[in-house]
Amino acid sequence: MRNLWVVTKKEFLGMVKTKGFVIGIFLGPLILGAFMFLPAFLARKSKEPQQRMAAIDQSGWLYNKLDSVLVDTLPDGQKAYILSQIPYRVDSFKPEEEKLRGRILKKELDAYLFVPAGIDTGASPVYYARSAGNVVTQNRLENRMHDLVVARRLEKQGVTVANLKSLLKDVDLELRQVTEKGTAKTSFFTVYLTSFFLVILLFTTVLGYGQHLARSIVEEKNTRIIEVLTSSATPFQLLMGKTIGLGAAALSGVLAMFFLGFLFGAPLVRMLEMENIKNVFNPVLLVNFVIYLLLGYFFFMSIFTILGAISNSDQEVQSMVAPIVWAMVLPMMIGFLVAQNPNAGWITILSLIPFFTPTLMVMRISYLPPSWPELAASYVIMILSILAMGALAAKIFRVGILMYGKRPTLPELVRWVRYR
Amino acid sequence: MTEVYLKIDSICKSFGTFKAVDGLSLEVPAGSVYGILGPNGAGKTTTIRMLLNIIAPDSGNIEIGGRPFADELKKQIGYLPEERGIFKKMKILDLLGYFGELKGLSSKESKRRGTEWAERFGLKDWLKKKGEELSKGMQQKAQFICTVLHEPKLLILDEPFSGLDPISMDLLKDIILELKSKGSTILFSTHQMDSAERLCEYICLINRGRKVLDGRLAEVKRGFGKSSLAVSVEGDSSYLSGLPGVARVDDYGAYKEIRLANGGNPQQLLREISSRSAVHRFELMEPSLHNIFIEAVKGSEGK
Repeated sequence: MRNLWVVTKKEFLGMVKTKGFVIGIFLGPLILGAFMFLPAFLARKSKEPQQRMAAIDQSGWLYNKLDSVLVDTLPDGQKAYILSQIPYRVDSFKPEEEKLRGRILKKELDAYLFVPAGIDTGASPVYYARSAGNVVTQNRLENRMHDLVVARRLEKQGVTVANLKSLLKDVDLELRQVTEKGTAKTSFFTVYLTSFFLVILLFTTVLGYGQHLARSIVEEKNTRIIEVLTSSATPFQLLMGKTIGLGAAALSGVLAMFFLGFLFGAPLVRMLEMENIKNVFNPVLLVNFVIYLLLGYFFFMSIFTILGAISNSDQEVQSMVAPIVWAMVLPMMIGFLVAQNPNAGWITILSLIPFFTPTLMVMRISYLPPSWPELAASYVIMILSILAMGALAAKIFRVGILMYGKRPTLPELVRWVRYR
Repeated sequence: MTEVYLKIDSICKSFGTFKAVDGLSLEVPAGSVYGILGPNGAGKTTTIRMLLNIIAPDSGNIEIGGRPFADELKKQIGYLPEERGIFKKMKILDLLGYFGELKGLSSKESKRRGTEWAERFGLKDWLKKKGEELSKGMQQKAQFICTVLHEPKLLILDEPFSGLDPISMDLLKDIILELKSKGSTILFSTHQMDSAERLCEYICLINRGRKVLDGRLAEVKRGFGKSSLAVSVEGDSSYLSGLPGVARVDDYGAYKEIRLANGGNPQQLLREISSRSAVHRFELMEPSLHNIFIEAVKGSEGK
């Protein structure tokens, strides 16, 4: 018992004292914060420059109206768009366009707009710009012209409308998630980001610590420290000590990350009035995240133990990690399908397979928590799998740590497991 | 005979079809320095691993201090494996603390003792350094300290002298003898006959998993009688191996060791040699452990 404690302590301190551990605790919330808050933050504070735009109006009526509705201002109060009209003449049209393109390339102008004569009968206006990325301007232009053209068509039908803008107001579908605690305002984007972040956090934690475990087994094998250790403690104590010590480090890392996240995130959420983030990070999700982190940790640790015990070098470990990575990133690959219907039958079945359970369950819960019986079933399956895999790993570990040279074949592995 | 501390009774261990250890029995007297000698692949390391209960014998018994192996015994044993290594990323002082703790000392006590030992080995300035910053020789010393930190009753050293410079080798020998005088039983394996010859009271020679001979070193040698000659002659000496009564000749540079064949007569040989060249040295002696080793191994393989 004492040896178990000594090994656990050594593994825990050995991990917690590294620079990477401390950096990771700060980096995690920082990256999430960047993803969650930056768009909202930038949308508020963005400083777009004035746009100088020319327009060739073949229709003859649109330009003046556009000029009077395109009156957006920049945050500093300046006009967002400086519009200038280039008269349309059939004979000078081509050279005029050439000239405009030249001015755009010389950066005297940001864009020019060609309004065709038949814009109200279906012809498309064309927007020529140096950058194709100015989505905001493109959307504005499109929307305003749309409104103007619709008004024109209505007028032609003899309908005059004083307040077209309010008439044409879009219908925004607001998303409210129904949970046991009532309805909560969320947004798909936030939920999607959260589930992604949590899945990545779980996956990198398990993978990172798993590889560390496998490497430390290989190191102890190669240096024969393992022989000295087994002449002091039992292989079981060593393995448990390693697993628990590293697990405690992983858990404290994640909890510290959450703590920091709340400490700095909460004021930001309040400041940016991002109510929906609070609703996404609900206790059910967070508690289950920790549960699945631990279950996944112990399950995959058994696998990494086996990898370490049968390998002779880091490279050998590395070459066998890929399948584990694939199993764990599965939820991210099918993320959109999960989002559409988190409780689809095949997703439910997949999420009860231990290799996929931790990540897939965390993703499902962030969209729509499965029923409690289903959650309980997944816990039980995970725990049973951990016990079975752990027993297997312990047996292979016991033999593997004393075997050097060639990696064992499958029949040899079976024999190892059968050794008394 | 003195009290037996470690008793191995006809242990066997096979890996697949390969018999690594085949019915080996030996008795290590308490407080002795005992050498297990044998060529590469003789089963020395496998035997040691079974002693430490790292692997279990297929059959046979091992008793330490009159009892079968139990986990409590681990605290009384110190073990230095054949291949050397320490944690790359761990500071030496923490390493000593860790191994001491695993052997039942407090972390503080093991660091205190570790510092004392480090002083002796000239390792004191390196205690705060990580394993990977140490030279190979220093890593070996640190590892040896880990082995003796808890003053083990039984010290098991697998090829302790390999890779050590002569000064460190002497230091290690001194420490082994010192631990013996404090009452520890020391068992080590080696194929370096000269270190064994100087250190061991008892030896056991094994080959292909079987015991070839064992006993008190002095008695083993006496058993072979004064059947060797140390000979040094002037000029060409290549004819020596062709003389009647000579079994084999080993060149040690300053002299040659001649093993007498059965019934070989030293006096006759002396006359023969002196008739051919000037003799500088001609001395009857017990065969070197080296020669005993070679003859015993060859003899056991001939059967």
